[in-house]
Amino acid sequence: MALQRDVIAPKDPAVDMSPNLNLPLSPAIRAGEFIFVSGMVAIDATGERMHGTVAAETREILAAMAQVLESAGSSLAKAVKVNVLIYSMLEYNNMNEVYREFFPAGAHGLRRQAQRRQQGRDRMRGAGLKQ
Amino acid sequence: MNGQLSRTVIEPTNPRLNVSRNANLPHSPGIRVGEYIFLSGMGSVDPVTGGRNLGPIGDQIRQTLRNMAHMLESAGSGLDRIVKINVVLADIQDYDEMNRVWQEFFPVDPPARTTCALQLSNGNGVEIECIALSGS
Amino acid sequence: MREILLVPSPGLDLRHHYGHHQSPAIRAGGLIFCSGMVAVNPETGEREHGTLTSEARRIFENLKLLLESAGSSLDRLVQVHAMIYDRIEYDVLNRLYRQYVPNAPPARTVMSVQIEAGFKVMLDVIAAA
Repeated sequence: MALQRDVIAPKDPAVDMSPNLNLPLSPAIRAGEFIFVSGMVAIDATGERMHGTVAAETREILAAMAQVLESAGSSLAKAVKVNVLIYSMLEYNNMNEVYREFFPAGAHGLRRQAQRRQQGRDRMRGAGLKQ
Repeated sequence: MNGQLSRTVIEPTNPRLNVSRNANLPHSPGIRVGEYIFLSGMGSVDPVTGGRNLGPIGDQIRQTLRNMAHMLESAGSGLDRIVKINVVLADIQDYDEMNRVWQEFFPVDPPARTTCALQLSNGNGVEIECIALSGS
Repeated sequence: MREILLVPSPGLDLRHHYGHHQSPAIRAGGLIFCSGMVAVNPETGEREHGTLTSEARRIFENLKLLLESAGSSLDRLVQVHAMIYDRIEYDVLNRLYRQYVPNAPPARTVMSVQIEAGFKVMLDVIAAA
């Protein structure tokens, strides 16, 4: 019997980038033991793009990502892999300071960061593991 | 301890689309491990000639996704079983066009996606990789 | 169920040496997810900048240590994101790369990005456990 794939619809529609920004993607897909999350950028409570400091955008993204994972019965604590795309490595520390708050010591996922040229200042994508 | 997951190489039925072999590159077109399939990054290759099929970005993306469909179908899977797809564009300005084309290939329950813009080789406008579920 | 893997050698723990908020590797669902590996000395953690070739060689040796200590191996790599600082080094990367994964190599996408600490190459990999 093949694995099935399910679209995850976040309970709070404001964190769902896809309809707000008219994007043909699902916020997250559950398949087997894994949840694959789309790359997320900072959007505010009204669903609009939020451009701010890297710290502010990182905070917004991780809070939204937590909600997406919780809607799927998972959580940031279960993340196995996080890829951080940041517009300049000069902002690494700004991103890192906020990142630490969401991944408490001893229970954090992996990370790789690199500078990419891209829209928006900060974008994260992750693969979380569901229970 | 549980047995290890099996790991096998996936190749496209159409040999023209086997860029790994044809260009003698150190990657496999895809790897199946357990119930998951990981594909190497793919660009716009002509399925008849095996050459690059460059042109307007919309056409490059369509050709790449058609080739991806073939690759997955060769392994008993399909575009609708993709769970995560990563798109690299040479030019981030092509983002909107990419979105328009996307609807043609993923009309319902599209996969999770991340897009960014990076330096690509050989004049390619796009490179796409994915993680998919294997077939039944 | 996810399991944070211990490093076989202290230099591979970048959190300890550089304060990167990350685990070196996590096993879950039959797969091993590794943090981006760069050219550091596996004993001391010192950065070993060099040519793309020398850095890539060190990276593969480090991955070999890490994966083998977890019961896996380079042969069981399934996906690699090869980040290089400039696409001009693509052929140089390939020459070294083939030595380490000569048969049935993993799926790969090469990405040219700015890597931390001025490194020329970083490998972000997933392996079968």
